[in-house]
Amino acid sequence: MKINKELSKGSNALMVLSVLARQEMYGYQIVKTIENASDETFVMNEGTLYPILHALEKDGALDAYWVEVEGRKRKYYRITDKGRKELAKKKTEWESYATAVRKVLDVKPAST
Amino acid sequence: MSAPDFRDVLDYLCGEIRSTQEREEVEAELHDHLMTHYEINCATGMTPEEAEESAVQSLGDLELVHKRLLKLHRRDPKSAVNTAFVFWGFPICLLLHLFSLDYFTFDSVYDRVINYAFYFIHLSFCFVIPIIMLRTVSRRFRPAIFSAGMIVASGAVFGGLMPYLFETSGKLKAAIFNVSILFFCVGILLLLDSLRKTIRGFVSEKVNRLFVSTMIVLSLNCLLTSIHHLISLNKGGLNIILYSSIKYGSLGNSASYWVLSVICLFFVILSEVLVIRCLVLACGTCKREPKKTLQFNDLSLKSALLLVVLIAIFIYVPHIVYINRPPMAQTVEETDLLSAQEEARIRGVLSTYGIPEATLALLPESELALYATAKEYVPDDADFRDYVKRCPDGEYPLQEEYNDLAFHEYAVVLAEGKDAFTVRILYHLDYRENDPHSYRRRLEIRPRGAASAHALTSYGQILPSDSDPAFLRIRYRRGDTVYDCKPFYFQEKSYARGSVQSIIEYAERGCADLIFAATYRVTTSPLDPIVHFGCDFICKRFVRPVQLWPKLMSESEFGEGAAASGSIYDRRYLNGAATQTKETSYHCWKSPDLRNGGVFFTEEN
Repeated sequence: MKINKELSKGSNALMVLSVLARQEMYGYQIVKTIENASDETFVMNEGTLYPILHALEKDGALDAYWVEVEGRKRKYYRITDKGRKELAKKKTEWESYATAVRKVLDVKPAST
Repeated sequence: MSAPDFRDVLDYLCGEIRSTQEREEVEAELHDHLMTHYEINCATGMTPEEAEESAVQSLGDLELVHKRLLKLHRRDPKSAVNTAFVFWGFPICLLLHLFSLDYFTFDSVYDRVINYAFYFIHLSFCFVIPIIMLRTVSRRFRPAIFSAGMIVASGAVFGGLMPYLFETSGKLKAAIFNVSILFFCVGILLLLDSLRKTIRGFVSEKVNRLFVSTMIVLSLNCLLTSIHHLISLNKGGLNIILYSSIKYGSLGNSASYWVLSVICLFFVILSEVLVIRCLVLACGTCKREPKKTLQFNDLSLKSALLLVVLIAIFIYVPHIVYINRPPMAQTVEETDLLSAQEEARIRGVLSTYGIPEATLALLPESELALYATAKEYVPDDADFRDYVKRCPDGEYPLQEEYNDLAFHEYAVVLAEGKDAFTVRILYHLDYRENDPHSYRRRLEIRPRGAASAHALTSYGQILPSDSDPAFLRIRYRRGDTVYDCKPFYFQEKSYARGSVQSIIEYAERGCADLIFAATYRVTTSPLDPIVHFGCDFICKRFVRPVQLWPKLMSESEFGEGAAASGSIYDRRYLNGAATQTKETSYHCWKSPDLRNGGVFFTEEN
């Protein structure tokens, strides 16, 4: 099932940090990992991914290095300590948010 | 068919990113991404055209991506300013401080410790400021700036300090020295560039650029140093220029001095402001955690109070302690005819200045008794005024003015002998500092006539191995301390400088009196690091005897004969009021006929 872009917009950085917390990856790999992990629910547009990566790198949440692969330079990203803290914070926020949404959705109609 | 290079797409997406490095990095990353897509698409059976189109489509809305990337990689003006400051401000600050170093020797260990302690505090700030500033610089530039800073620091030390160490007062020499460093740097630059090309592929492009940018900064810094030496009048450095420009409007009627002055003033102020910022950071009690920038309005009351306390400790406490130190012992003795005891005392005084017995023996006892008026006198304002009243008209004190720089000078004659030598202590009172303890004391030993040569060559305390005839340096030892002296030769009231060898020759001919001048500096306000920083250095440098005679010095320096001219403004005072003003211009012609006692100086009133 495809998810509305607006709905997933706020969690893109969280997902990127989350997959990078497990393994150092490059852009294309990140997209595919998220796609596979979510059973193709989140098909992240690459045009969206790179600005997110660059912003996280600028903030110091990610660190990048270049690797030469088949004559091409490939940029790998890894999460920093700051990024891990940020991830933990975002996770907590997300869980609180999800719980709250769930509670609202589960509200039963008041008996008259 | 060859693989596509996606040039058009990449140009569209990244072409407007201003930073070359960032643009190339984003391009490389997107290129890799597109190529990965392209290869996978081809592997799944797409035609190259279809694979290329699909790869581009994977990026989504290109216009949106273009805007996002541009927004993200827009140059941060604050970061650019900070980077520029660290790159340029650091070496300029450092050079400024180096050129401000004063090379006087001091009367006591106490003076020396206080002065040099403050110098080093200032120099330390030069290192601390950029380190603090590094916090505000983009992470990617930090290694570059750090390495550049370190290299520039070494360059500045070599470029700025070494000429002083070698006493290469000639500006041309200093310039040559710096230009040689410049060439050295360019050589290293070329070497590194070749290495860079060799190791390309093993290190990232970023590292490559680090080499280049670092060396360019270093080279430019050395070039600036060289230019500075070329255009400066004396080796007084930037502070002299700054001070003179402010006080007199211009120095040498040259616009370049104004430009330099403005730059100096800017960085002096900036460095002092940053010192305060460092203190704020050191306080660590800001309202919020200082991140990229710290504003003064972030100061909490507690940190503001701490700041005041720190400033007081750093500046005013040493100042107050220093100015309120107990005055030195004052003894005033005058004798018309010396007793044996007094004569022994004078000889004892002379011996304390390192005059060897052999030289003292040149001074006949009778002449010593006849001419000597020996006294130890430490002036303060009241004593000085009292002394003025007691002085016969036309004698001491003498106020000399040079370019509105006023100080009082009077001499205490320790011993004087016709055809032998005069030993006296000259005191210069500089009232501008308004400090009763502030004066300069100069011991002069003036062998006269035929005694000069003998005195000079037999003056055992001179260290011939360290004395450098070419650079006008004499070293002599007083107690455990070795002093650098500037030799002058003396005729009438005018000084000129010459090499040690030439002075010896003059002395042998009996044509010139000699002066070994060792200048000691005693001052109350050694730094006032923040408040009076600039001016204090300037005053000290300006009252140097050699600075008082820039024309004389510049034209006679290294001269085999003397080629000098200059003006002296004499004002004679009686009871504190100027009674007469006399302007005397001295012109010294080249190749004077010293052997026949020809006219050495002509005088124009």
